[in-house]
Amino acid sequence: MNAIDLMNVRKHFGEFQAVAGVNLAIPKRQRCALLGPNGAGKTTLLNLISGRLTLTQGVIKIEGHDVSREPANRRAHLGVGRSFQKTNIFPQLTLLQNVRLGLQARHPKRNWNPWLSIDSDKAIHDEACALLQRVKINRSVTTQADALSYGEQRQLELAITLATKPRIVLLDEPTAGMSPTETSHVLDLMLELLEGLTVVIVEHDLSVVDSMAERIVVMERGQVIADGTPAEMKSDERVQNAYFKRAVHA
Amino acid sequence: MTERALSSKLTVSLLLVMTTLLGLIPVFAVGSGTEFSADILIYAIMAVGLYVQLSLLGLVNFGFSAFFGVGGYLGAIFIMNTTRDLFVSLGLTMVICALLALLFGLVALRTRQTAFTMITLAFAQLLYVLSLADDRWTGGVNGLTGVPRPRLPLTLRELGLSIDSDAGFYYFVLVLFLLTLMGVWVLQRSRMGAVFAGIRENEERMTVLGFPVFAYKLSGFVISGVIGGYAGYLNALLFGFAGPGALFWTTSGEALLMVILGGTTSLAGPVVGAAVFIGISHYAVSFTDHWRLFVGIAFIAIVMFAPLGLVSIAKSRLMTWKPLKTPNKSQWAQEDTL
Amino acid sequence: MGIFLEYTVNAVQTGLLLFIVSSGLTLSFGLMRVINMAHGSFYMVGAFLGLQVALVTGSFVLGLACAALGSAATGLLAERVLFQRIYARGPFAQVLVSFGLIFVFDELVRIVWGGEIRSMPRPALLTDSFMFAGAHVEAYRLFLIAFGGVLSGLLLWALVRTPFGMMVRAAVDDRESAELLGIDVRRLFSAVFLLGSGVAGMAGFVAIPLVNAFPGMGDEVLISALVVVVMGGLGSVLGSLAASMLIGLALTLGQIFVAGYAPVAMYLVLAVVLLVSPNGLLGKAE
Repeated sequence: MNAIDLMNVRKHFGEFQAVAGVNLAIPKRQRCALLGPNGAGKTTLLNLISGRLTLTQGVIKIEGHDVSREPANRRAHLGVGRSFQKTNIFPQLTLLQNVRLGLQARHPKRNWNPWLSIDSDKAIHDEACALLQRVKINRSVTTQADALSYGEQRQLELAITLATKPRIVLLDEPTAGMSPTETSHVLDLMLELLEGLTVVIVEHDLSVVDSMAERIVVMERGQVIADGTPAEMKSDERVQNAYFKRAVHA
Repeated sequence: MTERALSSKLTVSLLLVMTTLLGLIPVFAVGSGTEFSADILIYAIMAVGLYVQLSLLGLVNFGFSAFFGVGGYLGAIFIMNTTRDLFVSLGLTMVICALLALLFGLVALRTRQTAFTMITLAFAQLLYVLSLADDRWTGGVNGLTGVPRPRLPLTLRELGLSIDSDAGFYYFVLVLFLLTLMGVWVLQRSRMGAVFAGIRENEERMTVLGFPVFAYKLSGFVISGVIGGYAGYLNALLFGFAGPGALFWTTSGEALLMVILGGTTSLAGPVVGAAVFIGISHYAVSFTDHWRLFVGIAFIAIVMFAPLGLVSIAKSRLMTWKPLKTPNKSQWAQEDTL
Repeated sequence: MGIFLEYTVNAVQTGLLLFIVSSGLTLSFGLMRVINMAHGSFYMVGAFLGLQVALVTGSFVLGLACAALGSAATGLLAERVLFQRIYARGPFAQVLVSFGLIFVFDELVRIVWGGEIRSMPRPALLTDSFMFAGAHVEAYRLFLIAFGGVLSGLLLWALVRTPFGMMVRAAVDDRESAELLGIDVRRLFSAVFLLGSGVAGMAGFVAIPLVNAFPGMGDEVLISALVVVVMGGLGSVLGSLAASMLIGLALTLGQIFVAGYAPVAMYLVLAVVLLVSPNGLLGKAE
């Protein structure tokens, strides 16, 4: 059983075909990078897998389950976790509260409790603190999230995603807008924390892709034009064309 | 002492003082003074109801008076037609309000935030128009007058308790007020409350994390509506009258003003806001016919100059002596996700 | 057949007037995410200012002109003094401030003109009613249809054919991109707000012979306009047009069949539309 199966997946916005028939099988524990010029459909594909967008056509399976018609929140329970291109945290909540929500997500039935105080729940408190430490945020847990620096917010984002103990992690340009130093920090963090998980990462930074990915899928105009190991991609003519053609015309 | 510890000690002491004072009111205030205090408490309950949906969930409801008004009518209708028992009529009122909130919420909560705001206003106005048009149940433009006070069950009556007197009714309202306050406070600190906060702060992320956001919003909406409903029930009982005025959009506006005036970020806010608003409007009405003008101006002034409300201002003055920061964008829950 | 024609005239007239009032509302939202609850107040202010002038000068046209100018000026004032200061604070603050304005304007009108209902006779040329194909048709209602139709036509033409209109559509569609293209969305918004208020004021004035003028007359219209805007889809002018006509029809039919309960028809239609399409008929999902 694969982690993710995409069969003839299409997403049309009116006339425009953002994703135009993608077939992809991602085995468990594989680290797969999605590359391609802007507008190729990479983020759209990620959104289709996580359920943020609905399919126009095709089938998506997560660990063998057909999720094509399932809303995003149900797919989360199948082990899909996702981080966003623009930081998507809970700005006015504290770090503790932020991560706690990720932890709460794991036990849906328990959250329908309107009387027991969550603040006095030591177990969840300790787990949240531990997670914050793992992503190397060295701030008091009662700090408000919007007081964090951009880099720290990305780390928090990762913490929230990991709190749900996902088996599949979808990362949308996790190092966007970061300096080389910040990028390398986040990269180390990701390598450490995402070990053993299936990862699909959309990235433009090729050094990150080099370190993280065992497989590269290149998209252009909504379709997969190349699929292979990093080494194979470097020597693939179509890939070079797709990138350089765009670069020259930009 | 840390700021948080100081804050909780302050809160607890204030609460004790407040409860004691409230308990003593009928002793000192005679007749209309007690009635006036009951009035304030009733509006405080309504404001707390709105707080649940506005501040905890971030649902901006411009027609909250719908529940208040409906609660009043339901109470009056049940008492005059079905049962003279207090708990039965109250219970029935709460159940019907819950159903109403459920049905309305199923439609309204599917819309985006701005559309939701407008729909809630429209819905309250619909109920107003209906109550005016109907003659059989709602008494039309005159409303339902002469609503008698229902009776406590036999066991309680034998103990000598009664809600017929001003003091008796006041204590009943006080008990419900304290229970409401306690209930919402507990809700706030619970797991469910944490989920509410998450939905308010970033609904989309909550969906991605796997929470059934719609179900939670609906629950909060229903809880909020029920509280508004029994506040309306008490209101009808206070003066023995249920009329369309409670459904008019201005009442919703006043409810909003109460919560904003007091401060949307803490449970004390709606209570303080209701007290201040009712207090001032009682006196303002005797000064000028045009007091609504000042309500409007107050609304605008508070939003523009003191958006965090009285409670935040008081807290910050008491604890840090520093000037109040102007609110950053996310103070006003969620506008970025429109 | 005759009755049917009468209903159609009523429905169309209601729908068109509703459209021109709600178009300002929907465009304001589309451009700046501002929901101006006081839009009904501009309708009322225009009506009263126009009424005053018309009664004093005896001229309907002059009254109409003053209604437009008066409410536009009021809109400008409100925008400059209040809204501009709180753009950065987000829609919640806007909607609250505009809500407060309703109280203020209602009471101001009451202070200046008193609380009674004011009426205005139809202009001399339009007092007739005649029989046509068995229907009792009032000349004034036909005038309203023409008036609403011309204004709507102008609005739609302006949106589609003029550079101004194109900028508005671009900004409604994607504000950030429009700004990047050099469009000053703020000024565009001020202009739209001004025009919207002026048009609302005119609508208020021409409605007086039918529904009279009284403080608070804007509230009912506001509610209907809000329903239209939500049903049509926030920001969509065509949606508002479709919704207005639907609502006009619903209200007219409601009047016939359930009289005092007529507004229920409106809400039922709204509920059905929203259940099927939560973003309104032509609204965008964001």
